[in-house]
Amino acid sequence: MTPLTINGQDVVVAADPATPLLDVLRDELGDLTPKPGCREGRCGACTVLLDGRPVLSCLLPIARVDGPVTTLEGLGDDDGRLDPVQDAFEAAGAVQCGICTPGMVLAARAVLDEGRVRTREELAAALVNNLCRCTGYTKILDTIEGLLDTGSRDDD
Amino acid sequence: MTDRFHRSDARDKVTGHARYGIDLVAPRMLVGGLVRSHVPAGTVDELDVSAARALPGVVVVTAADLPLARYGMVINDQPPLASDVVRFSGEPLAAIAAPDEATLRAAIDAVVVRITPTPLVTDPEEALEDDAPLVHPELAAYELQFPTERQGNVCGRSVVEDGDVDAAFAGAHRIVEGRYTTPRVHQGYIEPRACLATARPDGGFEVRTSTQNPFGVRGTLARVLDLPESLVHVAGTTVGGGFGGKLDVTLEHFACLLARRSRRPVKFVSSRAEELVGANPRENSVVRIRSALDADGRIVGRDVTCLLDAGAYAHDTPFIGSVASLQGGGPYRIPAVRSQALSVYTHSQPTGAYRGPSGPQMVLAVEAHMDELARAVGEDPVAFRRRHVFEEDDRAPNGQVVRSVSMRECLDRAVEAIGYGRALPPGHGIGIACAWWTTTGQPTAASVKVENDGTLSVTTGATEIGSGAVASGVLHLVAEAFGVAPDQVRIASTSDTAIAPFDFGAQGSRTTFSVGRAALAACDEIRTRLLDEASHHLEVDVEDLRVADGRIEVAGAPDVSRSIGELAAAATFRDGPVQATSGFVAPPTEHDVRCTGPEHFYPAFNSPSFHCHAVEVRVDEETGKVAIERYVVAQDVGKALVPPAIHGQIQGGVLQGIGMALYEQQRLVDGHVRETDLERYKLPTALEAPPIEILLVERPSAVGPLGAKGVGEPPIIVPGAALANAVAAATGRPQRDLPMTPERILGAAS
Repeated sequence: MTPLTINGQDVVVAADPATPLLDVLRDELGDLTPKPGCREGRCGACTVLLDGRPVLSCLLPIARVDGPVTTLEGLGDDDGRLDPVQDAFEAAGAVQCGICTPGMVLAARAVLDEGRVRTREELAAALVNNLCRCTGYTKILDTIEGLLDTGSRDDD
Repeated sequence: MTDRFHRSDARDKVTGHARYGIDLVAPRMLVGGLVRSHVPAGTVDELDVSAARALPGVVVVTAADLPLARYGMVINDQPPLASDVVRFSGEPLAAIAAPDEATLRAAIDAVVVRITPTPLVTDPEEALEDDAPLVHPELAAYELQFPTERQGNVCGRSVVEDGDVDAAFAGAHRIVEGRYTTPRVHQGYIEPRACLATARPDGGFEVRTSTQNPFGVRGTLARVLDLPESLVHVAGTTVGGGFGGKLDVTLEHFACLLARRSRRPVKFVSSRAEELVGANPRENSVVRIRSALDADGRIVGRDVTCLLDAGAYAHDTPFIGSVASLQGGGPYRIPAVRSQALSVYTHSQPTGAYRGPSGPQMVLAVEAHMDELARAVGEDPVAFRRRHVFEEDDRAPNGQVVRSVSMRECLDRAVEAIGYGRALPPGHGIGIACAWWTTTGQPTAASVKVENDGTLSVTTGATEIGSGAVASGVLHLVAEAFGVAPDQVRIASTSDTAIAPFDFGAQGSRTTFSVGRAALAACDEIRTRLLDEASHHLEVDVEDLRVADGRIEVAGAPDVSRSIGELAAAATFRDGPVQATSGFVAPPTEHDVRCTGPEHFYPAFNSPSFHCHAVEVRVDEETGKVAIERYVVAQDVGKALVPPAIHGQIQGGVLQGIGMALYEQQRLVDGHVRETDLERYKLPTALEAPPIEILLVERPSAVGPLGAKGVGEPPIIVPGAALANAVAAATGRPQRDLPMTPERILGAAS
């Protein structure tokens, strides 16, 4: 049995400890927000936050999950208000097909929380593990860039 | 149009509420998979599935279980499952469903396959040689869906010819020729193909699938399963990218057959490796162009032959060839043009539609060739183009009179924006490329209704594949028609063959164009109803009423008004619910059938749009790396309905085009795809995305909603050519082959 903390909830899962976190989230816990785009750690659609840092959940066995996990379901508050990143993505048209969006929003959240990215080049480098085929990244980069100074949760 | 941008599906997508094909689940569902050939050409000596069938809960179908031997979009050449012969590495031989992934893997491994290799042909030029192995020796016996030329390894030929080409070459002052190639590239959608099928007790099926074209999938499924269409219900999910790769049946027929046999719902999801060996990527191409120049350096004749590699089965490549044949002259005045496209079988995965099908291949060839012609006559490439670009009412090689033409304006604006002609640092170069493209206008319908709270709901069979064509384009048009805020319009249901009216699918830059026209016609009917109702309540003639801000008010007395919601509620009980459905299909664009022949699949460019891309690159002659310094797009959109959505289409399409120009390719080694994962198949990342400067040109279409032209496809067709011309300018060496990888750039230098 493996104990996990997912979006603030403690759960214990019976899956084999080698099972990728992605499969436990989707198949056992019914959280379909992380997306299996490639299952080979290349597309980033399965990105979740582990202790606030983006990880590829398709490659991460649950045995190695050593901190709290945040998925897209964990963003926003209990009154239905969205995270500023979600709001900004929606307003800017940074979403097209949306399959990369869960991973992209979480990766952006991590960038903003870590607070180390200063330039557009650094931002692009921070998102290099998250592929998007629709947008050409422009509106995604523009949107996150616009939040760099104001987007931390404390500013809400 | 309002400045406020809204798309109806964005909230669901940013919260993870949207459900895609890969998210489909059903109680007791089985998971499906395919046994694939690992030999690219051969005869099947043994296919023994008995050990797989013996596993608990496992169901297997092979060719022997199929109701139909072969199917296809143009030629019925493709067996759903191969039996006696395999024609590409990755071809499905058996479909298996199992209770879980581990059992599925075990069952696939338990199938015994023995195949004796036979002579292989994987290059489309070699496939045309007299002694080439035939991919389909029995080609002449196949049934056709549409007339097409078939001989040897040729499965389609489209020819467009106008003027006396032979005389133009005979009298030429100078002749310039070139050969241009493009790679096979995958659409790169991040959601792999996925579907879930359930067999129904009436003998039919319910299929949920990540598709661009549910009505198209229904039609093919009905043929493959030998059922009437009415027994096949196809409902689209949210689609995680398609770009042409999800237009036809992909896995749905396997899911249906296994669902029937197992009496369980069956779900299929492609692995990424299967995507790269067994989908329908863009045709690799070889294009040869000869141009005849007169003594004034004007193009007087042209002869073009485009080879599109269809792979092992024709699929839609002969259709795509017909589009290629229209582009041989480019957006230029050339009095005599012969332009033909051949679709050629090889022992490789079948190719097919990818955003702007045949566009990148033909635009690379035509535009790299234009630069070479300019050099040959000692003229600047922009000046050379300015002497040739289409003007209003010019005649294209298909005999079409080209209308609503903005080619010169697009060229001038892009050239000015990039500062063409200024002194550049060493290693830099600017490339220009022009193109025109079609807005296809195939049928659709939309139903609009007014709710009691004053919101509007739209139902259409069209698919929102992410472009925003429905969720934003149609939505904004309907909002504008009643003066309501965009978030007061809901896209109620789409892409379900049982609920929605017919639609031709998310393809051909047509969705906002066609669905928008249908929706506006439905809005007109509703306005008439509401005006009549308001006239009744306010006791004012209809001529004295106007629609504004979601209300109907008396002209000159705006405080005397009723909201459309209350009018609709009242009208419902006077005359019935306020709802209207309208259909639309674009009128055919006239052309000269003597130029195209009567059986040309796609003989004219409807509501054509015009495009010029200008790019400045820096080429590192040490590493061979190409860096994009600036990228300018001038695109004629007819009428810019929703600029943020248009910008998104251009930014995304250009980066896909850059991917094809610099990074992406699927090569065959001994008949096997080499790039079978996303490490080797290099999709552009955020680091490769340049800022794109966008200039929207508005030369209205006579047909499109408010004058709009198609937007989605053309951004991808020009970057390869613009980049090739830029790299050529930077290096001084013509670039005729994509992708321009560092190896290739350094190789060409030595």
